Amino acid sequence: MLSRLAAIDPAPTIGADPSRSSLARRLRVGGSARYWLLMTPALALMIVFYVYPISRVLWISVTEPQPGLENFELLLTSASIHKMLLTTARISVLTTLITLVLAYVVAYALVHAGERARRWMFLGVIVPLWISVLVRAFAWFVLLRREGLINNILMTSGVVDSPLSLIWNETGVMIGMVHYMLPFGILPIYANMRDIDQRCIAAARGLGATRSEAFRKVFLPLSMPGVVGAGILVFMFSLGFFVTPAILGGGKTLMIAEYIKVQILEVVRWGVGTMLAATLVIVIGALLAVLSRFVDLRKLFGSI
Amino acid sequence: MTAGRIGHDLNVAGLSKFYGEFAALDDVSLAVRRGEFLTLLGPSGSGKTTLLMSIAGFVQPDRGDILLDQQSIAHLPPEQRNFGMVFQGYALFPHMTVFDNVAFPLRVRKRPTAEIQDKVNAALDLVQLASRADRYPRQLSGGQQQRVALARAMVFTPHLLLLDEPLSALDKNLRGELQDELKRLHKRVGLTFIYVTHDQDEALSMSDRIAVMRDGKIVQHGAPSELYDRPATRFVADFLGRSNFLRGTVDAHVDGGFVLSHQGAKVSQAIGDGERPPLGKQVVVALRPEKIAITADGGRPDNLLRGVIAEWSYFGAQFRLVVDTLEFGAVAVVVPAWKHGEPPAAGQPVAIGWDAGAGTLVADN
Repeated sequence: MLSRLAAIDPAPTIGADPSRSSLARRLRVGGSARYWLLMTPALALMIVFYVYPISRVLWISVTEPQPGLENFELLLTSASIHKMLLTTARISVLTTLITLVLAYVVAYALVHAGERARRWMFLGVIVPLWISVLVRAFAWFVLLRREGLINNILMTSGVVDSPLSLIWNETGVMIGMVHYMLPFGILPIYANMRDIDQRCIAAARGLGATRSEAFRKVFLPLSMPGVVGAGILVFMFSLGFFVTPAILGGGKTLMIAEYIKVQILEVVRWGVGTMLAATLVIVIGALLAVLSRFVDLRKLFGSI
Repeated sequence: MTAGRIGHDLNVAGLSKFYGEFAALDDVSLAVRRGEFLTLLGPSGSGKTTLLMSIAGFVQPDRGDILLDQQSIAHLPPEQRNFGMVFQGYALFPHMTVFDNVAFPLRVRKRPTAEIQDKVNAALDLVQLASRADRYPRQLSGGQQQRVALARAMVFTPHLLLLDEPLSALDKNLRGELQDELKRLHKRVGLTFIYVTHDQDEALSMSDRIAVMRDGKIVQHGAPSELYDRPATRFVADFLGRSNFLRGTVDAHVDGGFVLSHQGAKVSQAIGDGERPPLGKQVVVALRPEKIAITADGGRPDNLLRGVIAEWSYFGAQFRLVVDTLEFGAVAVVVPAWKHGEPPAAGQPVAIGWDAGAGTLVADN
């Protein structure tokens, strides 16, 4: 296509050497061809391992056990799917909200900390990212179970009479998930806060605003893009989260990812499993489409 | 505007601020009079911004006091001082329209809506931006943003207006325009202005009074012409405009002045009302280039030196020459026009002259 374009010679401009200008054009085409060449391995990888499987999933969801949309009808009719979707939505929304509040506080402290303190605090934010999610889920299990560290301390110090049930329920799932999500909340919020002109806060104070007014009316609104971005990220991660809910939910708190696993690996209803996977992909895609109208997504994902 | 007076006076007494060993402010005292336009002038790191920030309340001084109309305000947080401030780079709130930016100080003061509407419109009229009230700061040019910052800082009739290099981000033409506008505004509203800049031209053209700062101290303050014509130190003479410095020993006392000698040349120097330096003392005389004349013929100035033109440049309104003299080395001379036939040429011998009252005896630091 490009080479055919190059072959069509436009009317030569006055004074320009036609042989040289066509040479330049060929070089430019060569340049763009080179970019395509460089992109090919990544593109091929994406197509083979990502685009193809996902389209297979979509295909299976409308063909198993027989062609049609009856798998998707379950979204409207099945009580157990309703319950699972509601649980997923509730946990994801609460996890996102709690994560955002905590992440905001940490990011605020990071931005206002001294150089040395900030370096240590960053280490504290980043190091958990290097530890496997599985290890962290089991660590929480050790801390939160009935005879775990937290319950032991609460019991011996007399704060509670009987052990709190912190695990095998939504509380446990949310504790584990919030912990996992925190860095993904902190980093976008921090990146945004760092770009806020501190003189604006000083200006607000100079113009008569108290500390808290300057925060509410100037800093908070200016930091909202970071909060919205972090919110999208954390919410989407939460929707499809598997390991932590599986371990800390103890099979009682069923979120969509685990439900899909059960459908495919245990009851072998590929149609239902792929239908739910497709639903997840579509919901996240739709969320991104809506949010991209309000937020610059490229900046959001590039800033991490 | 009868209720409550507009201008206020400010006294800074013995203010010091240390960052570790470094004294950003070193025992600074300064009286700012009601309604005056005072400029803090100095190179970067001279402490002028620290002084302004201490007055604004963003920097807590280690020693000394700040008094507004004889009342100490040193312990007050910035929001209780009721000072308007224009920051370097303006610090407009990017998420608010021009109107909301200007309304901000009134809203935090919980003024009634109708009053806010009136005052903001009046302030925007004052800076000729009434038609831009619905725009966001990023939709405005630099000069317009600067004017919004000014309107925002004045809308609540502050006790003082503090300006931290407000024009430094603008290009040269626009800067000149806004300098005039700022001066007119100052006359019109009668507020006390404290203005920080490192630009000597800005300081000379706008201020009622200038305080020149260096190393955390005020080295000299006074009216612009006073500072320019009678600089107290070599630093002030050099920082405000250009100057030649003639070094020599006091050779003799004469009526109303003394004679300085250097390498056999004798230069007479008048002393206004000050003490004549003792005989034999090493002194420095600052001499403005435009106070030296080329004396090819006729005039009989008090002092005469011979030399050759080393360099010259033409600036339309003036010639700037560097004349090499045997006794004092290179001497810069500015003449409004070349009245001596052929244009000057490098290597051309000339005589330069000036009167005993043209130079100023300055401290050598």
